[in-house]
Amino acid sequence: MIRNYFKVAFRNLLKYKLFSFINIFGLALSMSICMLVLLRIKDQLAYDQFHPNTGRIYRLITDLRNRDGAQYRLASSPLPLVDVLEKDFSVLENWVRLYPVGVERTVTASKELSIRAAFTDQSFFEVFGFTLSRGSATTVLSAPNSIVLTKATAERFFGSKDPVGQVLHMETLGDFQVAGVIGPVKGKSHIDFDAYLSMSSVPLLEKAGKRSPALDQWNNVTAGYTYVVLKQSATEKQLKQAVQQIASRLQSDHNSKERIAFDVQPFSKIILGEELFYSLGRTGSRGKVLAEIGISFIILLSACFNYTNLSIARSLSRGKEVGIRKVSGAQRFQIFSQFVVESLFMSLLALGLAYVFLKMIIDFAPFSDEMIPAGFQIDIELLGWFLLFSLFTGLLAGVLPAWALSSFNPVQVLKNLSTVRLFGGNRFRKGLIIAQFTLCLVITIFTTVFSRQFNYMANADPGFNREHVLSLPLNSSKYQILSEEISRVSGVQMAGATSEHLGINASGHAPIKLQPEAEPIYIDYFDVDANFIQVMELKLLAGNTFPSVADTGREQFVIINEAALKPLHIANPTDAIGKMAWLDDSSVVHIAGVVKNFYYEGLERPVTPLLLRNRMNKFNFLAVKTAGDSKTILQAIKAVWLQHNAGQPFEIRWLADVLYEKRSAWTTVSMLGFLSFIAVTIACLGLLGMVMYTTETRRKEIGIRKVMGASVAAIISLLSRGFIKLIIIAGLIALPVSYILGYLFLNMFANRISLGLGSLIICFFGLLLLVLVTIGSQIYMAAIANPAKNLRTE
Amino acid sequence: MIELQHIFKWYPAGGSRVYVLQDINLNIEAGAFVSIMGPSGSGKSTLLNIIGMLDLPSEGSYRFLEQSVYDMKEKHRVELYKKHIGFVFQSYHLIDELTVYENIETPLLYQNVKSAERKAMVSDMLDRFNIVGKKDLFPAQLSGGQQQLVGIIRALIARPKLILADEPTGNLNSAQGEEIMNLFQKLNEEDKVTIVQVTHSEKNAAYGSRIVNLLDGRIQHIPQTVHS
Repeated sequence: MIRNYFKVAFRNLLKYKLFSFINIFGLALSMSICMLVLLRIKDQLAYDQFHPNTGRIYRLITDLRNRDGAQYRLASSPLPLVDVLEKDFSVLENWVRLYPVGVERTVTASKELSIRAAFTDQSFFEVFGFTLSRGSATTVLSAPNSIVLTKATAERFFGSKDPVGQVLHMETLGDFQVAGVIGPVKGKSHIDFDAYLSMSSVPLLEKAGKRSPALDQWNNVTAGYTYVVLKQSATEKQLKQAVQQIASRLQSDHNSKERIAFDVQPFSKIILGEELFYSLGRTGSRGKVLAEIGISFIILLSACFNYTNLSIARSLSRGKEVGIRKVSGAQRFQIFSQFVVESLFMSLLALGLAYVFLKMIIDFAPFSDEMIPAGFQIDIELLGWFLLFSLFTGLLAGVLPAWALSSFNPVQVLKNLSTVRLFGGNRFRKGLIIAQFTLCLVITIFTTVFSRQFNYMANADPGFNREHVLSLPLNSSKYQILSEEISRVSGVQMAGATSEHLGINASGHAPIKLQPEAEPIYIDYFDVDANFIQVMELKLLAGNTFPSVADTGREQFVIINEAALKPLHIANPTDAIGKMAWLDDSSVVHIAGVVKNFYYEGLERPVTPLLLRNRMNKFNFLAVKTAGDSKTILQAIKAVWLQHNAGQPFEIRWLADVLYEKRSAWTTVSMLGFLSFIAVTIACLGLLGMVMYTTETRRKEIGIRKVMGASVAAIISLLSRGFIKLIIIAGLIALPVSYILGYLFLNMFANRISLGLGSLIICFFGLLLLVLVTIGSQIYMAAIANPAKNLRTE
Repeated sequence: MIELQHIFKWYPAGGSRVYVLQDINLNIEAGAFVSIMGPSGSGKSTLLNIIGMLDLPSEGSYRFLEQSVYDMKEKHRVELYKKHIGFVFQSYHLIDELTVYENIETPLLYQNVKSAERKAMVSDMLDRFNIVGKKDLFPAQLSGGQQQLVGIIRALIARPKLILADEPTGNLNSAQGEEIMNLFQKLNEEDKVTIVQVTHSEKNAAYGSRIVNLLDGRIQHIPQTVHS
C-alpha cells in the first residue's frame, strides 16, 4: 500500500513538473532558513551543559536605577558582594568571581597577541568543572601574578612547547607566569576567556595604580561577575533574601536617588535567558531567537500556503483518482493517509534541496560569520532534527489538502468535477494569497527603509572630515616620532593621534565638574593630540587646540564640545575658555577650546556632551590626512610605519571605509534582502500556481465568451482583474502597516531619512509589476486558446 | 438480490423539490442481466448509484443480499459494496498515473489482500483476458476499447456478485462496444455475475435478460422480456 502511495506520488511529481517545482523549491527555500535557525538554536542550547552542580549554581545580578530614574538590570555585580554574603549568611558552599580585564596586548619573547583575560578565584575549577591538563586545580591560581591559559591560547603562544613556567608580559598589567593549562573542555560554555589570572594579583595591581580600584568598590557594579554554589540545605529563596538584605544595607549608607538592588539568576537560565546589560559571553538573546523563529516560521507557513493552495487547485485532476479509489473500496482515512504520505514525500525531497541551500549558505557565508556558529558541524543528531522538522513541514502543508481531498463524494467527482468546491470556493485561497503578499510588501518596504536609513547614515556629513584620512594603528611605537616622520612624507598633509576613530564609539566616559564640590556630570571622551582637530576638520568655536606644553605625564587641558556647555552651566563658548574643571575626582584641567558639535558616535545617536582629552598613553590610532589616495603615498607611509613596527602586520585603512562598513550594517541589510527575496519568490510561485488553476477552471467560460465574440484583450483584463484586486487589497493592508513599522524604526535614530510615501509606492508598484509578469504568460495563453477545443473537452 | 422499495430522490429547488426518482420499486434476482433505459435526465445513473450504494436516496428502503442497507453503519455499507459490487464507467475512470497492472490491483489493496495473492489474482485476470503484454502500459497508451476492458477487469478482480455499468460502451465505436457486450454476456452466463447496465442503445439492451424503462424518474410498467 505504502509503495503504491509513493509510486503515485512520484509519478504525479514527474507529470506536473511545474507544480512540483513550485512546491519543492518554495518549501526548500523556506526550510533552509528554518534549518539555519534550528542549527543556531541547537548550538546555543549546547552551551553550559557540562558544568557540575548546575542546579545549585546561581549568578548574582544587579538591578540599578540611576539618577534619571532609568532602570538597568546587569549581569554583573560589585566584587565585594560575595565576601559579605559569605561572612554574614551561611548559605554558600562555594563561590567564584570573574573580573574581566578586557582585551590585553600580551607579549612573550617571540609573539604578540591580544587576549581576553579575567581575574578569577582559586575555586574557579571546582565550581565550573573545568579541568587542567597542566598544573593542579588547587594551586594554579593561588599565587599573585599567575596565569592559566586555555589550550588554544597556550598553543597560539607557545606552539607545542611546554608553557608552564613561561612569562607573559601583559601591556597594562605587567608580567604573569603561566601556572597551568586548561585541558580539553567538554563542551561550550558562556565562560570562555582566553586566559585566567589569579585574583590575588588584583590588590597589588590596584596599589600600583595599574587597575582602578574595584575589589572593595560597591558602586563599581559592572566590574565583575559572581557565581555562587548553594549549600544542599539552602534554597534559592534564602539566597535571594540574603542579597536583598545586603542591598538594603547599602541603601542606608548612600543617600542618593540612585538605587542598587541584587537578584539571583539560576545558572541554567543564563543561556537564552532574560536580556541583561553587560552580559558575559555568548549567552544568546532570547528576543533575537524568538524573532528568528517567528520570521522563519512565517516564511515556512507562506511556503506551506502554496502547497495547500496548489494541492486544492490540483484537486481537479486528483479528484477523479479519489473518486475511483473510493469506488474501489477505499476508506476516507486511506485516501487521507495517501495524500499525507505524498506531502511527506515531497517535504523530504524539499529537505534534500534545502540541505543543498543550507550548505551553500554555510560555505559561502554571504551574510557574516556570526550567522553560523563558529566551529559547528552537522552531526547525526542535527540531521535527525532536520528530518523531524521536514516531517513536521510535510504534515503542516499536507494535512489540510489531504483532509479536503479525502472528503470528495465519488458520485460527484466522477460525474462533474468542476462542480466540486472546497473551502467555500475561492475565498479561502484568495485569503491565503492576500496574506502572502501583505507579508511580502511589509518585508520589502521595511528592508528598503532599513537600507536607505543606513545608507544615509553611512554617507551623511557627521560634522568631521572623513575624506582622504588614513587610519594607522599605533602599536607600541612612539607616536610622536612616527607622527612627525609620516607628516614629512610627500602627499601627507598632517597626522594626528587618537584613542578611537570618530564616528564609532567614544573611548570612555568620566565625571566632570567645574567646582570641586559640585555634582559631576558624566561626559564621553576621546584622547587626541593637538593636530587631530585640524586633521578631522573639527571647527573650533572658541579657544584653541591643545597648547604644546612639556609632557609632564599629567593632564592639563581639555577641549569640550558645544553640547557640554549647557550641562556645565556655561553661557557661551568664549566663557568656557580657561575655566578649571575637575575630572575623575582627581585631575584638575583647563578648558582650552570649544568645538562645534559633531556626530562622534555616528548619526544614529544624538550629540551628547563630549570631552577631548590629551593623554598620550591612550592613543591607539594615527589619523593621517593625505592630498589624495595614490598608491605611492600609501607605499611611503607603509615604509615609515614598518621602520617603527618591524615584523608586525601592516594594517592601514581609509577612515571612510571603516565608517562605511560600521554604519551601513550590510549584514543585516543583506539578510533582510535575502528574506524578502525568499518571501517574494514564494508568493509569486504560489500566485503562478493559482493563475494556472484559475485559467484551467475557467477554460469553458473563456471558450463561451470567445464564441460570443469577446476579444483577447477583454479576456485578459477579465482574468487579471481578480488577481490585481488581490494585490491591491494586500497593498492597502501592507502600506499602512509598513508605514507605521518604518516610522517606529526610524524614530530610533537621531538623524533619519524622511519615510516618504514615494518609496512605499515604488515598492508596491514594483511588486505589482512582478505579479503582472508572473501571471501574464498564463493568462495570455488562456486568452488566445482555441475556444472550440476547450468547449469540446468539457 | 436487490430489493428497492419506494425509493425517492429529490433536490430542493427554491421552495419546491425537483424529483430525480419517484417511487421506484425494483427487484433484481441473482444472476440477472438487467438493462436500465431511458432518455437523458430520466434518473438512470442516479438509480445505478443508489444500487451501488454510492448515493443515498431521499426516502425508501433497499435490501441487498437480504440485508437492509440503510439500517447499517456507513462502514459496513462500504464493506458490503467493496466485497460484492464492481463498477464500470462510461469514461473508464482509470487512474492515469497507474499502469494497467496497478489499476487492476487497486480494489485488492483496499480489501487487504496479501501481496502474493494479489499478484496471483491479477496475473490470472491478465491471462484470462489476454492482455498480459499490456500490463505495464499506462491508460493513455491504450485504445478506448482496451481501456474499458481494463475497467471491467478492475471491476471483476475482487470477484463481485454484481457489476454495475454506466453506459459502458458510450465512448466506444460499435466494434469495441460489441466486444464489451459479448464479454458481459459471457460473464453473466459463465460466471453467474449479476449485471445491471445503464444504456441508451436498444442493441446493447438486447444483450440483457430484462429491461427497466425509466421516464422522468419513474419506472414505466411495460413488463417485457427480451430473448436473445
